[in-house]
Amino acid sequence: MEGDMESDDEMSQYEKMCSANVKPGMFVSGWDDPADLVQEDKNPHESLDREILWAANEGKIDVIREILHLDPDSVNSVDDDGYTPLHRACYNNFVDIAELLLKFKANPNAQTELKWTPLHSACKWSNAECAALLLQHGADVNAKSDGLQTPLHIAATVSNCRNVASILLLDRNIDPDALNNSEETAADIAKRTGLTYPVFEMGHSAYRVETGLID
Amino acid sequence: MTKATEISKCLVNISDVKNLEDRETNYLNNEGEFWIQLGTAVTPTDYYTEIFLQQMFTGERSRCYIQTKSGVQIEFTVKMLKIEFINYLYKLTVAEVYQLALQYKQNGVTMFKKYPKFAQEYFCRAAKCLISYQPFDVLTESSEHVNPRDLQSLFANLQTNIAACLVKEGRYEDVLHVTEFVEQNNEQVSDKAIYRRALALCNLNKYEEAKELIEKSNYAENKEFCGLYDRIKNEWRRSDERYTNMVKKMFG
Repeated sequence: MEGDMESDDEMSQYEKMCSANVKPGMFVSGWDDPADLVQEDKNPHESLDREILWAANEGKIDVIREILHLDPDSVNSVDDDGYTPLHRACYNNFVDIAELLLKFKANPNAQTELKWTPLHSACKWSNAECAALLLQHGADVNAKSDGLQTPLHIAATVSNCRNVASILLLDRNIDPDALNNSEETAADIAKRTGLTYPVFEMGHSAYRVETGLID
Repeated sequence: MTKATEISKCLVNISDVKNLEDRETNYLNNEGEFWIQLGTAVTPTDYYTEIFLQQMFTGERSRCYIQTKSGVQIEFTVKMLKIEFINYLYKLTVAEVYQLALQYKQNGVTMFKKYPKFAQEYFCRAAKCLISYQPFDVLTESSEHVNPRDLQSLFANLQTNIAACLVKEGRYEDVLHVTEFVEQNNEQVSDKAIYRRALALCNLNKYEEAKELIEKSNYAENKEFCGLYDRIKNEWRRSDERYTNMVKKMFG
């Protein structure tokens, strides 16, 4: 497309822009999708902390069980981005592993560097059973990431998120009006994203009730 | 590690109940072991007890406290003996969700007179369960084992009940939202839904719309409709008079 450039200066500017080190998603205001940042450990077996993270990613429940019996504190291991074994189990939808980790007191509200919780991870990949399990075990349904994204915002980015959205919107503590730092609610995102927008009707103010203190 | 969901059954032993006084309960006055089917509570105390049960593990024994308006705490000890998990709510089939919504609606009807807030909670919960399968028109009876028209009808019924609760709270914009189906003019629209929508329109000073809506029904045959119709006409007239007087004062 050289013919479109009117001068060498312009061409040079264009090349600079093409080769600039711009992270994907940088221009999506308020978005902090960490999927591109998940690291792979080249030597996962060097320590129990690294091994449990690797095993949570690979679905090796027996390895995890063994590690947890040797060192229960390894449940709190984190990689360089702040992901715990529970985050990894949840974005891979390893429900049995997530249950095991919770049994060993994994923190359901652990945050990565970008403040993603395991519930954000489960929602990102539409892993409904993990999302339901986390909420049963005390996960904050309104947890906010760096970009003020709640798990419901993350769910709304998935075209068919009926199951996860239903789980979140039926939770007694959900705040469906939460705004991310692009001033959008999850329903705003769902409206333009895909098939599941009708389900977000559950978050309408008409369906909110405070039962309050009893007489 | 299993915890109960909204539709689980729990085998419990409840003991050492204090400060219940004359509050109604079907759970806290039981002795020995007994099963509780979650989602069937029809008293406020039992409703909150079910929330406790959803937090507990099998084998757990917990002292539970429910704060009351008078400041006194209802106290009791629960031993969770067994949890029959059944399923997560989102995994239910359309037919199962329909049955659950019917159960919630029935609970709401039972509680409405004495405990309207809890009734409203049940109606809303039932409506949300149905919304999880919207849009209904893409469902088919043969594959889902429930007629989509029955779903729509139950949903309209719930919305009409929710509208009654919202009218009591003065949440008229929300009343308009849940009674939007009235404007679709189909055979499922009840007089109650029309009345509640017209009442909300009147309270939001949308007199023309309110009057038109009532005129679509057989308002002359219904005493309440006639009363509302007169009220709309009178308030509309007074509103116009106020406006005329204001214009006169400004420019007269």
